[in-house]
Amino acid sequence: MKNLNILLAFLFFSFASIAQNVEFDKNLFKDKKDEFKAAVKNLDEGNKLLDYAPFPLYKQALPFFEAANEFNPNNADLNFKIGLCHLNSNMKFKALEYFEKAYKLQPTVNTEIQYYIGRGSQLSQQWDKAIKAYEAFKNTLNTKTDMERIMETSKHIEECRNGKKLMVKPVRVWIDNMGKNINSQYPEYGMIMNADGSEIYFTSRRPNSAGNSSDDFGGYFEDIYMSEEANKEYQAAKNVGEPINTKGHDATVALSPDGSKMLVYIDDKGDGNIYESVRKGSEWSKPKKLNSEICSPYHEPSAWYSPDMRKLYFVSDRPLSGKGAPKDKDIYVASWDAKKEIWTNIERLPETVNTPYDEDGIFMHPDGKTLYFSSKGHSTIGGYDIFYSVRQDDNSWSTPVNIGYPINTPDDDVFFVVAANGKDAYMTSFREDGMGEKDLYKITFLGEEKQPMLNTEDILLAGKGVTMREKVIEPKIEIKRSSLSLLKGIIRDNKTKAPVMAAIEVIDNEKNEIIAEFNSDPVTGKYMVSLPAGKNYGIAVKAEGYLFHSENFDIPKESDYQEYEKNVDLKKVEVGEVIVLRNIFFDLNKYSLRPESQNELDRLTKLLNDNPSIRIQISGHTDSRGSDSYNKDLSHNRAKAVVDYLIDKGISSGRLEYQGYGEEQPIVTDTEIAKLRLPQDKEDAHQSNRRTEFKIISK
Amino acid sequence: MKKPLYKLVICCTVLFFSQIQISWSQDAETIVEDSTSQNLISIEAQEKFNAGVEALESKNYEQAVDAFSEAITLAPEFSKAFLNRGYAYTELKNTEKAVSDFTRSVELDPTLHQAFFELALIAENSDQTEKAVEFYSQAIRAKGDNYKYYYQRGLLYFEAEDYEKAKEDFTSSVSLKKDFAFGYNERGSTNRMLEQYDEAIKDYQLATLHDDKLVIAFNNLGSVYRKKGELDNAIRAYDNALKAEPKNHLSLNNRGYAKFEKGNYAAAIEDFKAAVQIKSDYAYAYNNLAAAHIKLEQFKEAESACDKAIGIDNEYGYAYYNRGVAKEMLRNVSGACNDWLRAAELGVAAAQTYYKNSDCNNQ
Repeated sequence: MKNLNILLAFLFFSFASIAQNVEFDKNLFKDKKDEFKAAVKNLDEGNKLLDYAPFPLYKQALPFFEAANEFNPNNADLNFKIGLCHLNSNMKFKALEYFEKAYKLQPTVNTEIQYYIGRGSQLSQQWDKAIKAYEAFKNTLNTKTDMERIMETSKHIEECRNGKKLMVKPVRVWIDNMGKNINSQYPEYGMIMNADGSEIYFTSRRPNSAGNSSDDFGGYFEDIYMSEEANKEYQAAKNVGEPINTKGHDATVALSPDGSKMLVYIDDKGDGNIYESVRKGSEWSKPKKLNSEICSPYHEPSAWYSPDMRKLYFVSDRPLSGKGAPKDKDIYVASWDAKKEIWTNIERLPETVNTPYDEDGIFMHPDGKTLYFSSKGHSTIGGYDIFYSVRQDDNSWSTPVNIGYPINTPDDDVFFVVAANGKDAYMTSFREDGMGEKDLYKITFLGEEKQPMLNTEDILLAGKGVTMREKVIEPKIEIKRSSLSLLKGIIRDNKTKAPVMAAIEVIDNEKNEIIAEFNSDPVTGKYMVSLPAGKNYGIAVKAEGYLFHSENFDIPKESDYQEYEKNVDLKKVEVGEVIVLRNIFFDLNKYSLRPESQNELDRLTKLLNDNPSIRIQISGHTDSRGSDSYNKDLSHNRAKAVVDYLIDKGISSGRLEYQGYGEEQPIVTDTEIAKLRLPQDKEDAHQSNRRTEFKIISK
Repeated sequence: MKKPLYKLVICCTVLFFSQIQISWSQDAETIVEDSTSQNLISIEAQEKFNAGVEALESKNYEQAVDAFSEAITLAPEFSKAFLNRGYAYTELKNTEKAVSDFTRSVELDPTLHQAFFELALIAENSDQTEKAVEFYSQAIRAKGDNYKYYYQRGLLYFEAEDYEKAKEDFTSSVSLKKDFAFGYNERGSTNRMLEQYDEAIKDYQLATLHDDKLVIAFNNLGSVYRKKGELDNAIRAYDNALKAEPKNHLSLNNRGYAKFEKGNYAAAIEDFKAAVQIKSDYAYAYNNLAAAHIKLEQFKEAESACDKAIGIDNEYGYAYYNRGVAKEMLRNVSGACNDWLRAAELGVAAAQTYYKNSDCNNQ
């Protein structure tokens, strides 16, 4: 009797543990007729939305299916459909449990159920389970008739293998939601920024958009919003309004490094093109479609400027022949023709970058070399992953590198921008802890792990009893340096402080070559330019009616990303005004002019030629190291060398005086230098004291 | 009647070696026959000398000085009376007179190696290293089979970082006294400084073989194993050190470090905590504790341990550096920058790099 009870109990639990498919059959729910009717109605409604043409409306179907599932949770087909809805929604990771349940209830629920279990597992980062399911699905396929499906499944298997590898060493990052000033319960995506990240723009589908209406899918039209950084926080985002935002969809594409030009995407009735808007002060011009070399009859969803604005990288699905059906999306580059004012000379980036799969979402870093893009090819772990490739000195591109987990996920990862500092990046992501829908996230790259330092000590000599601290060799530090710096500032009148539109030249002093020419904003006087590290730069600022202003500075190769703020107050041509000639150079302890002084001397010559009535005094100054008499002689001879140059260039000697002041007139006093903490700061202070100046003594 | 043999008590040597915790019991008293000058010294002088020796033995140093002085008055070339009076002056902390007497004694009798040795010790105590080395050398020339003289000179060479010469002396020392554990330990450390780690290991093993309570040698053995990357052997050696002296904070700190290097951070934390339990002002162990917490991403605990290390030693660069690392991970970037700047000022190169190559410059 006892044994029989045990057997019955075993059989009961065995049957109970095998779930069974429960059909929506009224005979099975005789005592719940009303509820059954309601569930069937929900099921029918969901099915209709799933069969909606031209696209199934998964998001809309899901609540109906979920309501039906609440009544009958053990219907295999319904579980499968809920899985499908999740798979095509933001909550992709929820799909797996429904596919698995559908399979458990009825293994034949769908001929592709193993494929979907694979998809669900992959999206849940359960790589081994995904590979197993994909393999099982592949085994059901016919190698002659299902080749495309076999290849697709094999690719997913490869993606899972990539995922396994990538997760072994996650990238050290902080990922932070950008907060309520930026994000909302509606979708936010496609953030773009100027080089220093002081201004950001993004696309959002919120109520009160320019069109204030929704599209066929129930979502609000896209509009572009902007936010400015203040006190290290982005302020509440504002709709940029007209003329950038229109009644239709308006989406961000790119921003020039100085924030003076914006590229926007306009659907153009499905054609999809890139438009450009130009800013003066805070006003944006009406976006103008880029020329037809860029905006082809095919789809161009993404583009980005090179920092010198001489190149435009863009994405297009145009066929290689230029005719016929579109192909997969690839990355192209165009050159700016300054005379014709068009983008021309279109080149497709090589196969190193472009794959047989889609590339999209490009971003050219302000270093001008590192191209970030999303790709469904390369070593993706699923969908689009973000990669970067670096343009080499010979113009080839390095093998793209997957930027790693957790930035990349098995879902689509696009819209990735990196600040000039190389440490902060921004992405669009849907996360459970977000504010609803897609949100913008800030990624802070932490770099290589900083190794802590320890000390040990031993009593080496028993006969001395003195502890000796072991010499610790400090570990090597892995530093991924950003190879550029940002120079930015405002050009103003030195007396009225009114912004001035000035022509700015940046000179590579070693090559004695102008590497950038640009103007400050006519309304705000602001300018910004990114410069590669490892060079000595001269900067000349010129504006009509003002004395030119020059600066000189080094960006050491070993230095990390730096932002240099050079606000320049231009002086009018008036008696008594003094200008430091920062780009006049002498050899150490000598007074012969170095060749790289030529640009500065020529600017001075031009100033004297343009203002034939002015007389100037050239003065030489040294730092306080060395004897007074030596410094005085050296500064005197250096001032004379400048005057000799000017005379040689045809300036009358009667207009020129010179004086050597030695160390008498420092910009930074010795007392102030003594207070500086770091040796480099002290050296910089001495450097600023070594200078050549000119002063207008009559007009 | 034949007079008793003259006695010399090398008490100063005993005192010195007791300071360095070496047991010299076998040398506590040395009897020297004055065979060379005995016949030239009057009986009265010898009697005064013996009275002086007795006074020395009974620690009546002033009385000893008087007795030896009388002996010297009676026999102005009585070298050993000068030597013994030198000892008495040493005890009376009258170094000047002691030096004078020791010097006079070797002028009278250059074979008086003990006087050279005492002069060497006095020179060493007054940081006159070169002079001390010379006196030890003279002692060795006078008596080449005394392992202590080689040993003492070896220590000086070691401190002067002349490891080759130190090694030679420690080798002479242990070859004269084959069970001399200290000698093996010191030669082991010399080999360690010469980066001859295998030889160092052998020496430390010999040291522990001859003295299984010599914690220092176990510790050193562990540290050389650690340098060689043989972390299990290192931990075993530290275990032995702790078996000999369970509350040795150095052994705990070092074992913690070995465990840290092995990646066993939780066990390392236990050792570092035990070290600070024993020695609550042990800044190194607090700093190391912080390092282990950093590896376990326990940044608050790391910051707190660094606070303690800095509280003990406010010029401890690594503690500032590590606290900077912890603060950065706690997202206190400005705090991290301040700590790295301070660490950089204290000479931590890595801190300077992080300070220069981080957000610190753009705060």
